[in-house]
Amino acid sequence: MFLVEYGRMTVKMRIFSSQGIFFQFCRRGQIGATTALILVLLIISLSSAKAIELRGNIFSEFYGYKELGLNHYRPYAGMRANLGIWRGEKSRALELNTYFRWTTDLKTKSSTDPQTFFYDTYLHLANVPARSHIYIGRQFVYNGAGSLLMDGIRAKYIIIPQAQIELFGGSAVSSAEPEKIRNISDFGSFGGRLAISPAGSTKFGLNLLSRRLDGYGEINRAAVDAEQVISRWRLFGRAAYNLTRSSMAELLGRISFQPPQWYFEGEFLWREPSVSDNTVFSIIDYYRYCEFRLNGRRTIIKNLNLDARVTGTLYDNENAWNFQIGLIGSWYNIGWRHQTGYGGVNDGLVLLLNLRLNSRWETYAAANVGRYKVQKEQPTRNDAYSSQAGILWRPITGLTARIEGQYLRNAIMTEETRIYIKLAKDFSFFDSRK
Amino acid sequence: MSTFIFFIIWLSASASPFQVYNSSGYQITPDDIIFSHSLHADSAGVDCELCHGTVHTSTAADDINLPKMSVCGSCHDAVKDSSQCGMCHHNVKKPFSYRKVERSLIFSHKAHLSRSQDCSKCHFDLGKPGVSDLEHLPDMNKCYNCHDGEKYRNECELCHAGKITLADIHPSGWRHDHGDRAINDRSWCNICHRQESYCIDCHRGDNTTGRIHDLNYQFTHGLDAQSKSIDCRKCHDTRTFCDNCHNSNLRMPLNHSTAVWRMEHGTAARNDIENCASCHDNSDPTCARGGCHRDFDGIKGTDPRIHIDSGPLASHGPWHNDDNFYCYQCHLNTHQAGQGFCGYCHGGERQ
Repeated sequence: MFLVEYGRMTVKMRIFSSQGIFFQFCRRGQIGATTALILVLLIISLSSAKAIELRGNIFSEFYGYKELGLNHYRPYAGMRANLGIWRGEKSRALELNTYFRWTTDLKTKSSTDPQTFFYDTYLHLANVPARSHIYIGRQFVYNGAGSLLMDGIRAKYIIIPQAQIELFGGSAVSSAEPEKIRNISDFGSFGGRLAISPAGSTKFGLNLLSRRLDGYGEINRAAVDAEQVISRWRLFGRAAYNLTRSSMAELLGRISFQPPQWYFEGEFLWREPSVSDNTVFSIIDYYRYCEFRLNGRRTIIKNLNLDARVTGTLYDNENAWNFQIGLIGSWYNIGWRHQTGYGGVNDGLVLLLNLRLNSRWETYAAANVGRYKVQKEQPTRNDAYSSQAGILWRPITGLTARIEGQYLRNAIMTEETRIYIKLAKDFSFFDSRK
Repeated sequence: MSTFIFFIIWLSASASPFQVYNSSGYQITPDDIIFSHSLHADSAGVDCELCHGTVHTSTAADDINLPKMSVCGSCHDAVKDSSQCGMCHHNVKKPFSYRKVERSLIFSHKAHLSRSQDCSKCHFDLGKPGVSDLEHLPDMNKCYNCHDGEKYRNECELCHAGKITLADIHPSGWRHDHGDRAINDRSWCNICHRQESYCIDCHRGDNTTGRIHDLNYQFTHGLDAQSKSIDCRKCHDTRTFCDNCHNSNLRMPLNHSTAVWRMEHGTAARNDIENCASCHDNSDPTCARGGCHRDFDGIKGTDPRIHIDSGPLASHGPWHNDDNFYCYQCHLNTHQAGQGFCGYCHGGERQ
């Protein structure tokens, strides 16, 4: 069931067969804008049939697993599609993009099954007017001040080749209730980004995000970011400001250097926890996050890299440390990780293998072993082990079949075997491209 | 472990002596041929086809379309003079032919030349002096000048035939920082990932294949949640994400069920307030709901549901001199009358 709320109006849409998608509208009040929009699109599509292009990827999956003593047999079906409704001169176009996935449980249904998740579904009007892009519908919004999945409208305008502005507004999607379009007054979000690139290697951005959280909290942030590439150096920095509290919210710096056969990267982050300003949590004298990461990689010989990294999270009372070292080859990856300090103790080993037998067949396997404890008081460590092995087949271009066996062992579920099957096919109809 | 470290050091040491770099950082191997396109194509005006005539019939990427020595000899008499080997070969004692380059791409020179005869459309900067010749091979960005997905197709399989890997396209560290790159300049991503929702192919949120997280991550993620927020937050809005399982499905974090949690949760709240807020911060916060942090009787510091013994408040207790005193796990130490914890007794309103 798919619920859409427009103030007093509720539209219910039910998805039926695999042959196609039919929407059943049960209305309270008026059907309104949604129906009108779909009708307009259909009329445009039918009247200019030559302009229609449809391409994308359709997939079916099956995942069988056991959790807390209960068997789960989950089929998935989904589609990523791009429908070119109209194409005009000078790259003017109207497209409908969608990416959705349906799933249920054949054995142990939960209260949310069956569920259909629309990751995005939006109309894209390109270059009408020139140098502009307008997106209407469910979409991801990325912004230096934050990111979210929203139902709304986003407009991008390329002012000059070196500068563009993007503005958006809508309501944030809840990951707990993704089928709902939530009301603007409680979940409204808006913002924008001005991006300037005076030279190809220099970029600046000015970002704004205002987001309401369930009607009782809100986040208002502005951020500036800059990126500079100088020869083998790359520098990136971002500073975010909390507009409600009038205080710094985040400082991020990253520098990387890539001389022949080497790669170095350093990263520093200081940020204020994101807490609503009018709740009991805001009066707690909480610590700011301070984290850094150092990463080095050496290409020893062709297709053999040695990678090492250190990550530290610094608190006022205790620090957390992560050390990782690994060998990365063209068809394998071996890594060891050690974690200590606040957050727990862990020693883990990772092995990944990916062997291409030929252009059609590919095999892969992975294993993870870990010995950890989350609490200091815990007398002994827990063991966690997982492994997977699979085979991938591409009989023809665009068609992929995959079958994978998985085995898990951990402190909560003693032992478990899982199976994962996937079939995916690219499709293209009325494609005019060469 | 010592064997492992020794193996790494040995590999590093054994590989280093064979690596030589030119001024632009390009690694030269003993089988590279000394050659300048700048001198030949620009200065001498030699037509590309004179040396690379086989391209018109070449249909595979690994076809060798480089001239044989006899072709060089059609202009250079020195080819026949054994004392002049050093003109073209780095190692005159053991002159190699061309460096072998592995190519797994699907590519046809013949098909492309049928549309355009201009080699420089793909092979940029041929006339630029000082650039090593292998660098003239077009990278994928150059392919996208034409294969933009509009005029010409640009699906991965067109060229890569299922052999594409992240390492073929994205540099080291990509997996970690591609989120920020996507924020700053998605147009680069959109060259290949034309639909912006392409991210979801990996970031779908169900972790059925272990591509993003280990399959056991559902049971071990607490290790990261308390110490790697920089990574978690790249994808997850902790304000709402944690709540999906921990609150909605009533799955309490492991540390909540330990004997000392009641004593230590104040410290945890200070360190990871976002994690707490993810489940507990709502219009009726858990901290106050049920009575723990709600002052029912309205008299300062006397509610037994909050403090077993609130008697010390009446005296000049150690919290006056100790900023780390346990009271400050929850209460705000302001050092100012009328504000925060100090304001309880020293004027002002209670917090």
